[in-house]
Amino acid sequence: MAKELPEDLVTEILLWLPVVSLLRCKCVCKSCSVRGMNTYTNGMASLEAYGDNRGNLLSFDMSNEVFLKTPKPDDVFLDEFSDWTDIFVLNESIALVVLVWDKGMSEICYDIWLLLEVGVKDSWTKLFSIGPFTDFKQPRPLGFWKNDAVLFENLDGQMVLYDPSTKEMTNLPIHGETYSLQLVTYMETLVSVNGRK
Amino acid sequence: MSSTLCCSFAKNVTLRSSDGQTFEVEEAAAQVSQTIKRMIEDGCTGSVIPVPNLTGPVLALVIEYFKKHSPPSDGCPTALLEMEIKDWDAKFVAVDNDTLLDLTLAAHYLEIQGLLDLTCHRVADILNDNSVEKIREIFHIKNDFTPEEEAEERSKIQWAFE
Repeated sequence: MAKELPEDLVTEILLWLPVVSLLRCKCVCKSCSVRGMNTYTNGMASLEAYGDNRGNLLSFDMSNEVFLKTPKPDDVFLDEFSDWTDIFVLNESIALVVLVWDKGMSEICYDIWLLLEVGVKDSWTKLFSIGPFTDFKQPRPLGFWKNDAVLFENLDGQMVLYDPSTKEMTNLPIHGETYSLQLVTYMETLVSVNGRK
Repeated sequence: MSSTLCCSFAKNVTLRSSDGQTFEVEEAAAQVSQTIKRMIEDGCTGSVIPVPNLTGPVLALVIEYFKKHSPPSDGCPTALLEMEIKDWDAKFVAVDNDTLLDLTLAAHYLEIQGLLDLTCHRVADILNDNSVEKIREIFHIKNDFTPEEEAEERSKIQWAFE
């Protein structure tokens, strides 16, 4: 852009866009990307509004058809020690996973935050940290399972389960190409997708 | 004596743009900007208030907005006045895209919530009404996708292009 717009300003603009246009805008350039498009909780679809990490969380309230904006917790900065975040669903709430480097830049941890109320910045609660992992050996978080357990994919494409109560990693018998694993929520429903006709 | 004078006239402040142009404006009007309001409260009124992020032409536009949106001296604004202001706002942001982005940045820097909503809504309308190619052209954004990458991005949300 000829005039660089600060990221929070870009969010202000995106708040006015219908979802279809928002998605189309993803294709304008790489820095316009949005993440976490599978994050639905209680009638809200949430996403990270900008390719960078300072961006706010945007949630679309489907019943009222309005966007809500939640700034990330103050402790989460985009700096040399924290350069990646992603959002997942945990117990019907939004969970934010933040990659944090240690001061020596040789190890990383994942901090897990839970958003108790969409739109309320002060309702972010830090649940726990996972790690440390040594440089470039960190598994990639895929999402949460029951009881705060976190599913990861390690560098070999192996699915790993982390149990925060025992802090243990367990290899699961699921294996694929590196970066090929994906976690998708499945829920049975008796309601027809096509609605009543 | 001076205190009586002070109360009988509207108090003015002087704003200076990045290129050294100065503008005199009523203090009450300038306080539409939260940034300027804080500077006035911190006692910056004695001299000129610098607005280093805005060029003269942009600051002149913002001052027009201040004047239109300064709190009315005689109580509540009427419904008619509100409609007139809404009309005026719509015309105010019907400007070329570069000016619109300047105004958006100015509203952000000066913390003028009304103008920020107005300009952001206008930019969003432009994004909404135009194709991906046209948006790149309007906002001078370089397409950093390879043709394959762009095709893949588009295929993921094919329905949004239908």
